[in-house]
Amino acid sequence: MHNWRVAVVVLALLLTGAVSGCTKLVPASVDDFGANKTVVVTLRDGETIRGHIRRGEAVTFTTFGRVYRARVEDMDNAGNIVLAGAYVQEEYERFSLQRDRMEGAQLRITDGTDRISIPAYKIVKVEEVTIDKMKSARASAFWSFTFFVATRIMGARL
Amino acid sequence: MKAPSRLLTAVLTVVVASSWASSARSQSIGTIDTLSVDGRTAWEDGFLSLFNLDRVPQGSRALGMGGAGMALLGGVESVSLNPATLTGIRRVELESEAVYYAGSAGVSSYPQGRLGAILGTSNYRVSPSSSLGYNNLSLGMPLIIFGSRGGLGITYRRVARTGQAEETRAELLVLTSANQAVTFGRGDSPEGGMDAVTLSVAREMGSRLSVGVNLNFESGTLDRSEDLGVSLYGFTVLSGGADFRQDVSGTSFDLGARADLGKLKLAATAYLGHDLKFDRGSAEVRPMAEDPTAPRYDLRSTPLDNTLSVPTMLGFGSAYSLGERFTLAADYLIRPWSNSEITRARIDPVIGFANPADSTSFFADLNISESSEETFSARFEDTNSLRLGVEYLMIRRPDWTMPVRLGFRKEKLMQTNTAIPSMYSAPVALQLELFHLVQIPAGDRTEEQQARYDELGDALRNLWEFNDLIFRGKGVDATTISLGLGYDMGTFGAELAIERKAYDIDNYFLSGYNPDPRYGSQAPLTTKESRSIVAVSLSTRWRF
Repeated sequence: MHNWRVAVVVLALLLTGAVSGCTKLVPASVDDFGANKTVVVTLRDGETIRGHIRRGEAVTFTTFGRVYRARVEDMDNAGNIVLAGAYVQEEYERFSLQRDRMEGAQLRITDGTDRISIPAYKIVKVEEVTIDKMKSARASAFWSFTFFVATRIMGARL
Repeated sequence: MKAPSRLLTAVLTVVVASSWASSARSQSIGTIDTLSVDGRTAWEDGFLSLFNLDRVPQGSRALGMGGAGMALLGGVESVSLNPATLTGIRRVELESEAVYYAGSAGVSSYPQGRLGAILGTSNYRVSPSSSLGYNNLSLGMPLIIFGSRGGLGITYRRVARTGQAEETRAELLVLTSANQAVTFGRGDSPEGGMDAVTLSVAREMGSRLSVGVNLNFESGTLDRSEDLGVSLYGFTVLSGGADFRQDVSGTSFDLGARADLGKLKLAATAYLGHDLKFDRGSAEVRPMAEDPTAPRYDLRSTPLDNTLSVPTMLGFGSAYSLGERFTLAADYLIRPWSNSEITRARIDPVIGFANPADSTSFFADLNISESSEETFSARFEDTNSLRLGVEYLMIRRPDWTMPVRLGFRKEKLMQTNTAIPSMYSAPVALQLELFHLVQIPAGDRTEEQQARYDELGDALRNLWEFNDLIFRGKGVDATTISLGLGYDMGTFGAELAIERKAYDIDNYFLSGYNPDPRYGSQAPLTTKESRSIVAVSLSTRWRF
């Protein structure tokens, strides 16, 4: 019984460390899209692009009311990004009015085309997504302790 | 009888089975000192003499503040104190708590003089055992209920422990040709307890008032085992013990309200009265034999199912904010346990003298009805609890806080030790007096004699039927001091608290007193002891 509980706690620690997804954003260079980095590019209107900014990689483009999943088709040294194969992954109803206005604006994202061009001058900041070690440690500690309490309860009841 | 047997027999006339261990009909073949009643309830047998049904504080924050916090908005675990506080949560949160118990004991006095073949007693000591267990696992979420802020919670929590485990040791110098020293040992191991699955809902009623309700599904298995032993030169020469198990279940409601009057907060709670059902009991007693060569007995019985009525507990709380960092809290709770009753199958005791000319021919028997029940007072005492707590935000930043806490609690515990009413301290005297009155024909007795005859008969029947009940747990006053420390980062929170509960009790010397008047038992000898139980609580919280 004791070994069983220890095993569950250790498993919880490992699982928590592996899948806790505790990340944070750190500043990166505006034109540094480093192929191996996961970055968040923030645009002037608050829209964001998240993922590996590299030809062929899938990224998430978040705009008002919709979240798109698209592929990086092209990017140049000036920081201009072109996304292709965009499809709607998620939609927020409360942004429907904003979305309706955007559809009538320059950035037409619902006219049936699946290409999104993002000029470099719209990029406000680029941040790198890194592992937040402190947050991961807190999450690990929390889930390990919670699993320990849960196993004690199950041990008493079963 | 050989000298060693005489020695051990002499020891055994004093070292008797525990006063709470009983199971079977006594046997005339010898000195099997069991409280020989078939089919008694666990309460009457005293197996549950340490089962304190006033709920333990939940959450390290409450523990660190002496158990106070009825008027404070807190985490989901605070619903056990006041369900109305659930309106304070703003995000879905998961909380868990574990508690480590340890303690110490002192013995201020114990009989040290000669007792029959025991020339003297020394080094009588008691040691509470340590244990680690869960206290609660809680999930809460904020809700909008009919347009107002509210909350929903589900909690699995420990309501009451069966008891605190401990060991007793003593060195006995016994009368033999070599004046040998023997060691008496007793291990008392209560385990398990009663838990509850609690569903909670709360809602704000306007800007200043919130109300809440808990639905508690209570259940558990109560275990208690005792081991007795006498050792000589390091070898156990005599041993015995008892084991008990019984299930408990019940359903109850708690009501709570909280008023926010600015810096002052007020609260009121009612843990509504309900019945607890005790069933599926089993008991086994292994009396210590007269000597190592004597037969061993394993006496098994089934404690009667019974229902215990739990009275409503009322609580009143307040909290006051001194600036942005200081919070004072004060709570008072009371439960009229003297109104509690036990209901079980009817038992009719029959007493008398088999030979009217022989005072030692006293007999007693119990007739257990299969068709009718009886209800009688559980003979508990009212309990109350005064709780004072202070919380100071030592560090207060936008993204994290670190509170420190201090608490004090003065309370009457429901049960901690057994006690004998003075009338029953000398049952042999009662029996002898009854015998003398029996010699007088009923028509020749004076009014005073007849009244005394009736009184003694009732007393002995009561003694026989409830001889364990009346010796069962009695409450004592306890004082608790606590400290606490917290760390809250918005998403994650952790809290640590430590409390020390101290109280004094009278206990039976060498665990034994046999109220059965047929065994010529002496007036009970008691020890004066103190207990200091430390609880260390750790809880963590994640807000999603």
